[in-house]
Formats: sequence, structure tokens, C-alpha cells
Amino acid sequence: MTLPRAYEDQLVERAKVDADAFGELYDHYFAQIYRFVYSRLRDQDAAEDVTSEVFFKALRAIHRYKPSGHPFSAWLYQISVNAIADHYRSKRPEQDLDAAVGVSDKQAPLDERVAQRDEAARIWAAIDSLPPQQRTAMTLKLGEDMKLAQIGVIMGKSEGAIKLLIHRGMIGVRQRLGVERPGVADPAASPESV
Amino acid sequence: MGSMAPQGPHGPMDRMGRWDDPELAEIFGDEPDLYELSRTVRAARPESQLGPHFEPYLRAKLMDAAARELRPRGMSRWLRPRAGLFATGGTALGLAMIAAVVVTTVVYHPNDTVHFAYTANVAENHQVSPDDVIRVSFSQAVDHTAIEHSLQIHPATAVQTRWEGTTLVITPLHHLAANTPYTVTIPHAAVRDTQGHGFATADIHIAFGTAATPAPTPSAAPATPPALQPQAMGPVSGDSSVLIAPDGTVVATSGLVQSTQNGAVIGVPGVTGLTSPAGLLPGGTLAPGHGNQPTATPAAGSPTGSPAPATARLVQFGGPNGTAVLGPATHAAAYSPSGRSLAYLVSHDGSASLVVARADGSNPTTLVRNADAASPLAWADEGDLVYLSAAERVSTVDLEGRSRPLGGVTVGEGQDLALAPGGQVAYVGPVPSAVPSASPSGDIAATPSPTASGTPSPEIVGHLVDLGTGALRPLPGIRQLPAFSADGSTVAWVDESGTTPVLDVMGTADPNAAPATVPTAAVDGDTLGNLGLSGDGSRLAYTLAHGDTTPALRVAAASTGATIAVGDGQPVASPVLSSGGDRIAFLRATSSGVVAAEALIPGSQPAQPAADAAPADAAALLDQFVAAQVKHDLATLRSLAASSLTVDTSLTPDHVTRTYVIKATLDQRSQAVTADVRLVRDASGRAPTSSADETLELARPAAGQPFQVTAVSIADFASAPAGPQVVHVTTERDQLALVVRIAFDSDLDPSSVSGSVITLAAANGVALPADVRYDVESRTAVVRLLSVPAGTLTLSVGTALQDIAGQSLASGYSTTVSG
Repeated sequence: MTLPRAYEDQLVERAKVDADAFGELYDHYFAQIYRFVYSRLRDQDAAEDVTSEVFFKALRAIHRYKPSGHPFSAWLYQISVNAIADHYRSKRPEQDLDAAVGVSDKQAPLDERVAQRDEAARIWAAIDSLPPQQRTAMTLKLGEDMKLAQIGVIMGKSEGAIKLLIHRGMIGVRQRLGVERPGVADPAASPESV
Repeated sequence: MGSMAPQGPHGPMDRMGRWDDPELAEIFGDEPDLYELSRTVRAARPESQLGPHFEPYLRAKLMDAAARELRPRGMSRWLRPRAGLFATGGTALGLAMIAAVVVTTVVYHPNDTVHFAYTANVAENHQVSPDDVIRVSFSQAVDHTAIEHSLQIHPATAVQTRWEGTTLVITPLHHLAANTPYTVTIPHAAVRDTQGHGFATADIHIAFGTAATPAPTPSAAPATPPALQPQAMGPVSGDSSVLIAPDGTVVATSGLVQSTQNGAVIGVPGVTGLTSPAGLLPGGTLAPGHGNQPTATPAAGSPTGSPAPATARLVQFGGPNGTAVLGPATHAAAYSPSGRSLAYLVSHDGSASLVVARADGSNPTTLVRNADAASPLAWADEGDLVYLSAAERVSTVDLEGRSRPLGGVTVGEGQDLALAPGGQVAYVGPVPSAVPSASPSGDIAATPSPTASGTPSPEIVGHLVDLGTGALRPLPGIRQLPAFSADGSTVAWVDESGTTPVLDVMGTADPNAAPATVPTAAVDGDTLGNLGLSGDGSRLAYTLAHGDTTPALRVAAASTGATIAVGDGQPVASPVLSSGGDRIAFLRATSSGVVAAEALIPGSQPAQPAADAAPADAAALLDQFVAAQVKHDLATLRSLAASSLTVDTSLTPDHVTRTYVIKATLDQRSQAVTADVRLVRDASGRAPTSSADETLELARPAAGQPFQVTAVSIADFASAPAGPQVVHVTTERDQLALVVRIAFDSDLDPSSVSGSVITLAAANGVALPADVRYDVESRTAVVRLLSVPAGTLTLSVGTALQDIAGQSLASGYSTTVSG
């Protein structure tokens, strides 16, 4: 549920000097921030650590927050994206893509595979193996149902760039899951810079 | 205008009831398989796994941090790095949070499930600094009163509590005892919201222990600053101040004296505890019979005299002629740098005259008659004085009465002014409108300042003014008058801009000098005041009050903040230090009025160990041995033990957290040392603190060789008793007196510490007349025996001794000391 913008702006202003107001922001946004962080890390301990880091960073920096016409949550997501990146940098520099995705069975119908719980994990493991920015854009879109514009605010990119990231990300997922598309070269097979 | 997409329970739906995202449909317009895959991916998005306790736990920690850190910008002194504010800097905040302990309970309310958590900064930390405060953070708003009323701390500790949001901050009034296991308990019934709904399903137990503080000798008790033993000098009026004259005597600017019919002057009767409010004959001669007794009766030297009403005068106490009147009462007096001249102001008709006299008050000469009625006074050098003229200009005057304004400095109505000796600088306070409320500095009563509420004060800035150039330098956060060294080269002040008052010192000569913070024990909401600086700038005197408690006097090293001496627990005002910082004078309230008092600051003549005190090398060996026991270090134990002693795991009981040596005694005939040691297992979780007593025997295998441990015996472990315990006993010789110090783990009820409960008895069993005092700061009873018989004495501490919770001493204590 989204807070009315005017109320949220007032709440954020109060939260700069009032612990209770900050607690109200926490109560409102904890679940979605945690869900986003978890969907990126898919490890409970790591998600709890990073979520803690997000809210403590927010606490330390809230005096610098200025309303910019975007929801406060966008700012929290920005912090989350950075905290997740920091986490990966410090804890898990690189993942073996094959280990992350597993050995794909190119012959099995996709519908059957996703019907199974472990296949759901395998699909998101494929997202995990994408380059970081594609991964973030895909998670915010498909994990959090965000609008492209909102994702752009969080990631500091234009809507067009977000579209490109999602498009390339989805191609990468298709390739990693072994979904055949005969006759079409897969651009995600080569390293990308975004 | 587009039509609204149909909504399903999980977002927009297409006509076939499938999840639909127009933005993705646009991205994958030409690639329906990718759009279909996006549906698959979304449908497979992971359900986040979250422990039920994490959210309230994180909330509790955030609320704790938020309560401390969310302040109006510009007032948040925590942004200014100071030693001890953050143990590892602000960036460690999140990591510290992760390391904290959380205990969570889940409570089902009628209509809701409440996950409740609390955290404590000290929980399961067995090396907590004795200077730390205890912070217990709750994830939900709780009934403050219920928790405060049921809070239990063991060992009994006097504390002040306050709330920062949902965080309870517990500040021990006299710090925590070092090297001590603690348990904080909050009964579960008290953990409830304001409607009475309980949150906790079990009592909250927070177990922790304190670190041992560095001690001068390895096994000695933690260093505790000695308490001053003030000597009342004479009665003064409440608005008096005191100064220490160059000859060491104490001068009160408004001392109370009486004139008799025959012209004699005596102190005011009725003031108790005076030792020299002596009667004076004309010319300052001490009246016979009044050297050391209160002046409740007329002077013996004036049998026909009857006391007249008390009058206020500029009075010297403790001079060669006893008490002497130096001049009329004044609000400002100052001795010249050589000590040969005394200047003071005499008020009249809304202004004041500046008078210079000899040091004994004779030959008074008026230099100017137009000084401001509230002017301060300082000597620029032996021949010039600085004062504030009635025209509100800081001016100088020489001994011939020629005056001139200095630096164009004017001081407005209501602005504070303090003149530094030396005539180079002055302090000018902010204009009154900038100060929200006046600080009651100088109040002799235990009155908290307005900042004691914990509400941050606006940044009040007074200025140091160069009287030569008029240049200004800010003294941030100053609300009370600063203190200067005797040459004016050092200024000290209390910065009250944050919730924690800070003591700053700074050189006045270098315009680029930065303030240096003098560490104090002040925490949020505390009050620092009554600042004094020794003439050489080496020592500071100040009072520290926790909340609305009585301000405690401290004398500290200006360079390190180390406490050199503490007051005796009674409120003081206007402390001044001597030039070298070895003596202090101040005002204090008694039941019958205000008196000037002075005290020597201990330390110039260190006490000597008593004859039966363990030698230093034995004490060092003891510490090494018990430390090795805690570490299960058998190799070290073997290296310290005599070959006859079997060293095995029976000497290293499991789970011992700490040890302390209660007493180590040298047998002067055998030169062997016997040590009483306590092995402690700190409380942890629900396991209570337990301890076992150990006895160690130490001896030298041959003269001149190092001590070895020759025997060890360890009793069974048992749960720590509820009442206070003796934790350390030392004996020393202070000149001819025998001084026995008995340290306790608990804050004691001072009224229960007396010569009837703590006794020293001679070998024949007869109790000796010892003076017994209790120092609340160090939790130490000090027994002083002036007439010491030869032989062995028996020290006994009875169970009538009680802690502040009314619990009796856990068990009677008895030991022998050498006379």
C-alpha cells in the first residue's frame, strides 16, 4: 500500500528528527525492501544483513533526503541496490554461471519445468547469473511490479535504458534456461557492458 | 484516454485472465515468446523467507539508534568526532547492530500477533567499559513507568533512567564497578504497553560483565580517585565567591562576621562544622579560645561583648592571624601577580569604586569611581588593572588612577563578561536574547540546568576578545562563564550545544589554536558546571550531575581528563584551585548556612603499603596465575608453580569468566603470601552468576628468588548471593595512620556504613576507635586508625551493612591486618 504523497513527505520530514516517525517509515517499507533484497540475494541471512544495512544507511542519511517528486521508497530502493552491490562485491565476487543455473534440459517443455518448485528457483537463478544491472532491472520489474519510470529513478537511468536492460535480461534468461529459438543468435551470450 | 486494465488479485490481467503488464508487452511486442517467458518468470518469483523475529529485532535496533542520532541539524554534536563517542566511528553502526544480542518473544493479542523483541548494547559482553551506559531497546512502545519501577540490577547499583523513544537508557550514578558481573532483570509482567497488554512471555535477563580497569599494581583494586576531605573555614553569604590568596589562605568576597560592643569581630554563630571561624580582636588578632570551635558563644576575649548582627566583609580565613577582615564586601577581588596587592570593587549608587590595598587590606586607595556595578576585575600586570567602566567599556587603570578603554570592547546590558588575568583577553557572552534561559551556574543547591532534560540547546556562542585588537574568537556552546589560568593563557569552558556537555580547553595566545576536549564521564542529559582552572592550567575542577542528582565535584588533569580527586558527595559552588592545583576552595551549604571550605588534593604524598601488603612481584605473579587459570593455560601455571604443586585441570575450572584478588597478605615472619581469590562465572542467558573462593599460597624457594605458587585450594562453585560482597581489601600507611580500604561490588546505603558495622579490633578483642567513611564514587569504605597498636588487628564487616536495595551484606567478612 502506498502512502499518500503529502503524508509521506511530512512523515519523512518528521523522521529527520523524530525516531517514531522513522519507525513508521520502517513499518511501512520494511516488507517490500526485504522482499526485494531477498529476491536479489535469495539467502535469508544475507538478506537480513543487507536489509539492516539499508535501513541504517537510510537513518544516517535521511537528513540529506529531499523530496524529488518520487516516492520515498525509490530512495530506499536506491540504497538497497547499492547495498546489494556492496554485498556482492565483498562477499561473492563472481558466480559460476553453470553452477548458478544448473545444467539445463533443453528438451523439456518450459511449462512442465516451472510447474515444479525447484524449477522456480532455477528460473530466478538464471536471473541471478545476469549482469548486475540487468538483474536489478528484472528484479524490480518482475519481482516488484514496478513501473519503468520508477525503476529508472532507482537506477538513475532513462526509461529507454531500462527497457533495454529488461529486454536483454529476458533474452539472457531464455538462453540460460535453454529455451530454444532456432535461427536467432542470442545477444546475451556475449559479455555486455550494461 | 486509455481504459483501465482489468485487475486481478495479483495485478493487471488480460482477457484470458493472465497477468498482464502493458510496459512489458510493449518491450516484447515482436517477441511473444519473451513476453510469455516474462509471465513465467514473474509467476516463479521467490517467496521471501523471513524469520519472524527479524523485523521487530531490526526495529528495536533502529529505534535505539534513531533516538540517539535524529536531532535537528546544527545541534548534533555527535557529528563532531570525539574520543569515546563512537567506539569505532560512525560507519560501524550497522555492524555493531548485527553483533547485538536479541531475544524475541511472540505474543498473541486478541486481534493480532505481536512479535516483540528487545536488544541491549551490553548483553553477553563481558568486557563492558565501567563508564558505559546500559541501553535496552524495545521493538514496541512500552509502559515506561512499569519498567522503571521494576528494573533490577545486580549487584545493586544506583542508576538514573531515561527514555529515548523505545530505548531505556540506564546510567549508573557512580559508573559500573570494574571487573564485575552484572545482571539486569525486568520482570515480564512489567513489559507491557500502556493499555496493560503484556508483550514478554518471560522475564528479561541481560547478563554482562565489566572489564578490569588498569590498576597501579597488578593485583590492586581498580584505581579510584580519592575523596576530598574539606575543612570548613568560615561562614559566608550566599552570593560570595572565594579565592585562594598567593599565601595559600582562603579569601571570601562576602564573608560573614560580627562586631562586638568592644569592637571585636567574630564569625557568625550557629554554623556547624567550622574549624576556624575565629574571633578577631581589632587588627586581626585571634581571640583566645576560638581557634577551633564554632562561634556559637561570644568571644572569650570580649567577655562584655554581645554579638551584633552579622555583616558581610571581604574576609581572609586561615591567615597568620586567623580570620581577618580585608575590606568591605565585594563581588570581585583579585590579588596582583606578586601577591603584594589586593584589588576589589566597592558598590555604591549603582556603580562601583575600584580599590587597591596591600595584601593584608591595609592602605586602601580608590583608583576609579565609575566602574560598572557588576564589573569583574583582573590584573594586567603588577601596575595595571582591567575592569568594566560604567560606560560599559572594558578599560584599564594604573595605580595612579589613569584609565583608558581597551580595544574598543563594549559589553551590553545583560552580557556576561569575564576578564582573564594578564589583561590580554576577555570573555564576552552572547547577547541575552540569544540565550534561551539562563544557566544557574553558581547555584549552591543541587539544581539541574535547563539542559539536563536531554533537550539539545541551540548553539550558543560567546567570544574570546583580544583586548588589544578587538579580534573575536568563538567559544562554541558556552553558557556559563569560562575559567582562566593565572596568566590568562589558557581558557576552559563547558560546551553545552549538544545533549552531552563537553569540557573544552584552549590556548588564548594563538589565534589559530583549536579547542581540545577534556574527557569527562558526562553522558547525554548530564550537567557540567562550576568550572575552575588551576593557576598553571594543569588541573580542572568541575561538577558533574546526572540528571537532577547532586552535582559531584571532580578535580581532573586538564591534559587527560583523568580524575585526580572527587568531592565528598555534598554540593559545592564556585570551586577555585590554587596555582599548582594542589588545593581547592569552594562554597558549600550546611544546615545552618553557607560556608567557605578548602581541601588538600590528595596525591602529593602517596601513602605507603602497609607492612603486611603483598610485595609487588608477588602481586604480579598472582595476576599471571589467575589469568592462566581463566585461559586453561597449564603451561603457564606450571611455570609459575613450585615443583611440589600438582598442576592439572583441577586448577582450571570451566567457564570462569573473571577473577579478582580480594586480599593478599604477607606473613612478615615467613615472608610467604596468602591470597584470597574469587573465581567468577558471569551470568549468561538464564544461568546466574556463580563463584568459587580460592586460596593461593606463594613463597620464595630461597631468599632473593622469585615467588612461586606453592598451594592452591578451590571451593565449590555456588550461585552468587543477592547481597553486596567484599571484593577487595587493601591496607596502607598514611603517615602514622593505618588506612584500610574495603571495596564492595554494590552501591551501599551510606547510612549503614559506620564504625559499628566495620570494626578494627586489637589482639585482645577490644574495638579500636577508627574513623569509618564511605566513598560512594568508588563503593569503598575507608577505615582510618590514627593510633595503631602493634600486632595483628582484626577487621570485621558485619551483615548490618546494606546496599541501596536494602539487602544485607551477603556474609560477614573478617580478616586480619598488621598494626
